[in-house]
Amino acid sequence: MKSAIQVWRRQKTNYQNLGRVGAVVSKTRIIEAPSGFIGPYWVVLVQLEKNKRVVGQWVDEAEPKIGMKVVGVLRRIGEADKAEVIEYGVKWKKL
Amino acid sequence: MVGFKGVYQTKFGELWDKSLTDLILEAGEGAIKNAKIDRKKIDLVLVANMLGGALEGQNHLGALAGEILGLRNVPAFLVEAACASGGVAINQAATAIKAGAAKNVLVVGAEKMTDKNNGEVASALMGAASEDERLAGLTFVGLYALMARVYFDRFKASKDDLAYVAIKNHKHASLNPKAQYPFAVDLETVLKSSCVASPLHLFDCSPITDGAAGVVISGEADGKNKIVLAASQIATDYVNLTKRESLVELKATRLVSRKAYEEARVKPEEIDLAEVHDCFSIAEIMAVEDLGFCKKGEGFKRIKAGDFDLGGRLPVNLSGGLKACGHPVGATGVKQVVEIVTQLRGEAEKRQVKKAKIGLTHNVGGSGATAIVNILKKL
Repeated sequence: MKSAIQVWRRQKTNYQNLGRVGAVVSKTRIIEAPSGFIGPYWVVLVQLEKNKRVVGQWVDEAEPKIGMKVVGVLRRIGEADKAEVIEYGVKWKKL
Repeated sequence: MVGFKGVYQTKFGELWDKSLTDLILEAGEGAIKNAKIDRKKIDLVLVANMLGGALEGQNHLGALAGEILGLRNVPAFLVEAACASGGVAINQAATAIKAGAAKNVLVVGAEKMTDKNNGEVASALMGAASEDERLAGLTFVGLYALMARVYFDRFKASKDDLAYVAIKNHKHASLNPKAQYPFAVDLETVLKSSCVASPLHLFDCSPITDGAAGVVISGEADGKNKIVLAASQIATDYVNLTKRESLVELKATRLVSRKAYEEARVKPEEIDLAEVHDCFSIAEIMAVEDLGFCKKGEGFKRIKAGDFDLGGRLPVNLSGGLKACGHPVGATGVKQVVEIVTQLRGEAEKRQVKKAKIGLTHNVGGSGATAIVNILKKL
């Protein structure tokens, strides 16, 4: 279960890729989601500048394609569980 | 020399009537009995387990194993390296013996996974990954799916090429009564299975399994055949997949296998059989390449061609592998060693490799952050 303190602490790192631009290197459509998430959804592996890759959920209506230029946007991360803490972070969409 | 006195594996599967404690007891007693050793001579107990705390609410498994196996007052503790816990525990047992800290070590790998639902198990397993990967909603299937997609593009492979891993490992499991799925499957069944995390489907994935395995390791080779640990090496890499140099290999596997071949003074082509970490089909394809059994980018072709079948040039995963024998995560690395010892003793019955002398086990933690290779030799 997410604690408010954990989510508060992660604010230091959760938004660092906001507005950054990159390209899709790989993708997977998660059908069987872990607890805290509701599937299905796409997760993309994005190449930012040289040697810097990140993973994140995909939020565009269009299906992600390898090589597609993308941008990091602010979205809710996962579901609010029993602790009712809502966490925000960066997800990815077509640029 | 570090030798194997006794081995035992429980049935792998959905064992609703067995608790984590029951599994540790059965594997521990089984290994002690198989070793024909007076249990008073066991002076160290190592338990390999990953999820006891997260799924069963049970920690402190070393002392617990000592209690239920009647090994009171003996040093006993947990070895944890995610899905590589079992292989690492074997390494630590050997290290203790070489250091003179122990003479006879009992290693028990055990995992109880089927008490909880799939989401809870997937989420607990993600403890072996990084926080960034958890926040992206990834699962382990998802992480390997990301690698599979890059592999496909690089080496012109497709989803259908993956199917031959499951077909081979199920065929081997059909000869292993201890396997979770002791039956063969055809191409159509594999290809038609439902998607878990694209491009990986159900038959690309190892299952959720209850099971345990035990080994008694001693300072001297003993028993009917003398089987020794000729090499045991561990390497680590970034826990976070995105930080790795390459997405089409597990660098830790490549590095650790070279160190192990050097320690054992053998070449990859001298290995008679291997148990590799096929948590997903793509993982076995990369493993046979990274271990030097074939060239990078050719693993899927060699598997399809039958190189790694029983009767092939280097049989891989005769137990059925993680895919079909099952993957009780903490037990897997120990089970791999049990299978190789059984083969080198000539006791593998229908799946016996003739004249097997050198066997290798390859156990991976996380999406490649820990890799361990053990090489066993029959003297």
